[in-house]
Amino acid sequence: MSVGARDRQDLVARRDIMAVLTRYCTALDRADLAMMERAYWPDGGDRHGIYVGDARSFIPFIIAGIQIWFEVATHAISNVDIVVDGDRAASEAYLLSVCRVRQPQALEIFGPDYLVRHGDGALEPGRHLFMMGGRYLDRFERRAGEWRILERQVVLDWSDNWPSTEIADAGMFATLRPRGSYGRGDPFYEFFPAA
Amino acid sequence: MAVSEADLEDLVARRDCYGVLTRYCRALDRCDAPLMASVYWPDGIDNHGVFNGNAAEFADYIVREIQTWFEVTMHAIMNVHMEVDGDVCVSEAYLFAYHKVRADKAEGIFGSRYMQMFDRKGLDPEHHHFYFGGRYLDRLERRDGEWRIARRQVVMDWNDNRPSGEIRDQGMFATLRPLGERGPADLVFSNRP
Repeated sequence: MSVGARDRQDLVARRDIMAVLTRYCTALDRADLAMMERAYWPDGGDRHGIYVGDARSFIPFIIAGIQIWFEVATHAISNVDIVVDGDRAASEAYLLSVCRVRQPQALEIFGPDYLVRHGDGALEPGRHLFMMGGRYLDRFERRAGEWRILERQVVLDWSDNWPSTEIADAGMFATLRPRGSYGRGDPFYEFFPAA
Repeated sequence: MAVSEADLEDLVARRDCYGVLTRYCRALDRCDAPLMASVYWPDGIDNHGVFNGNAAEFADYIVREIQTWFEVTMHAIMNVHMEVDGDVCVSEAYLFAYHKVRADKAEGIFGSRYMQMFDRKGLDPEHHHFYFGGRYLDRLERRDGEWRIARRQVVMDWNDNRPSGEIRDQGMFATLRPLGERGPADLVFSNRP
C-alpha cells in the first residue's frame, strides 16, 4: 500500500500548522511581538474573551497585557487535532496555562471575592498562582505556501487560583537556574538566535 | 535523501492513531457517546479500574457516568510514544486530567478522610476538583484501513485533590467566554476548515 500525494501533503501541512500553534505560545510566554505577528494573517481575527476583534490589534494588546498581568506565563498545548482541506485547515488544541500574578494585579485578574478570601497570604507574599484549562479553536489559511491563523476562538473550561506556594530561593529550587523570562534574555534565544 | 515508503506509511499510521487518542479525549470531555463508540473496536477491551471489560460497553458506560460524577473534565495527553508494526500500533500516552466535583459528590469520590480535612474550604464552596496523572497504554489495530483501540489499560501514577479554586464570574475570568460545553453546542463541533 503506497502513501498517496494527499496524505504526504497532509503530513507536511500538519507539521507546519503545529509549528504555528507552538509559535503563538512561545511568542506569548516570551512577550515577543514580532514572533506573534508571524502567527496570524494581518487580516485575521481573534476572539479571546478579554479581547474580540482583529488580530492586528490583538497582538500588541496581548503582548503588553501579558507582561502587566503575569510575572511569568506558560501556555502549554496538547491534544492537537488538525483537519486540513486544501489551503484551509481547522484545529483544536487543549490549553493548560500556569501563570504567576503579583499582588497589584490580583484584583483585576481574580476579582474582589478572591482578595477577601485570600488577601496577600502566600508562601511568597504578594504572589498568586493562576491556572486555567481551555482550548484554542483555530481556522488556518495557507497563502503563498505559508500557514497562519486566520481566526482564533478561545474557550474556557476551568480555572484554579490560589495564593502562591512557590519557592524561589530555598531548598532544591535555589539551584534551579536559569529562570524563564520575557524578552530576549530567555535561554530560548540562545538556542534559536534567528527567532 | 528520499523518504522511504515504509517511513511514510509509519507517519500516516501515527497520525491516524494519534487522531484516535485525541478523539477519545474529546468524546469524554464533550460527553459524546457516538464519538466514543468510534474510538474502540466493538470486541475491544478496556481496563479503566473503575470498569474492566468490553470496550463497546465501556464507551456507553463512561459517557453516562462521567456526567453524574463530574461537572467539567479535561483529559490532556502528551508524551505519545508509538511503535507501529503492520496493522498493530502499541502506544503510551501520558495523561494530565482535571475533574470538577460537586460538593455533594465529594465524599463518594474522595472518601471521608478528605472530607474531614477539606470540606468547604474552597474559594467556590460548592465544588472540589482533582488533578490526575497517569498513562494510557493502548493496542490499536487497523482493520479495513481504519485504526481503533483494541485494548486499553489505564495506569494511575498520582492524584491531587483540592477544594475548588475556581473563578468564573469575577476579574479577568468574567470576560473569558464562551465556556466549554458538553454536547453539540461546544464550538469545536462547528469549527471546520
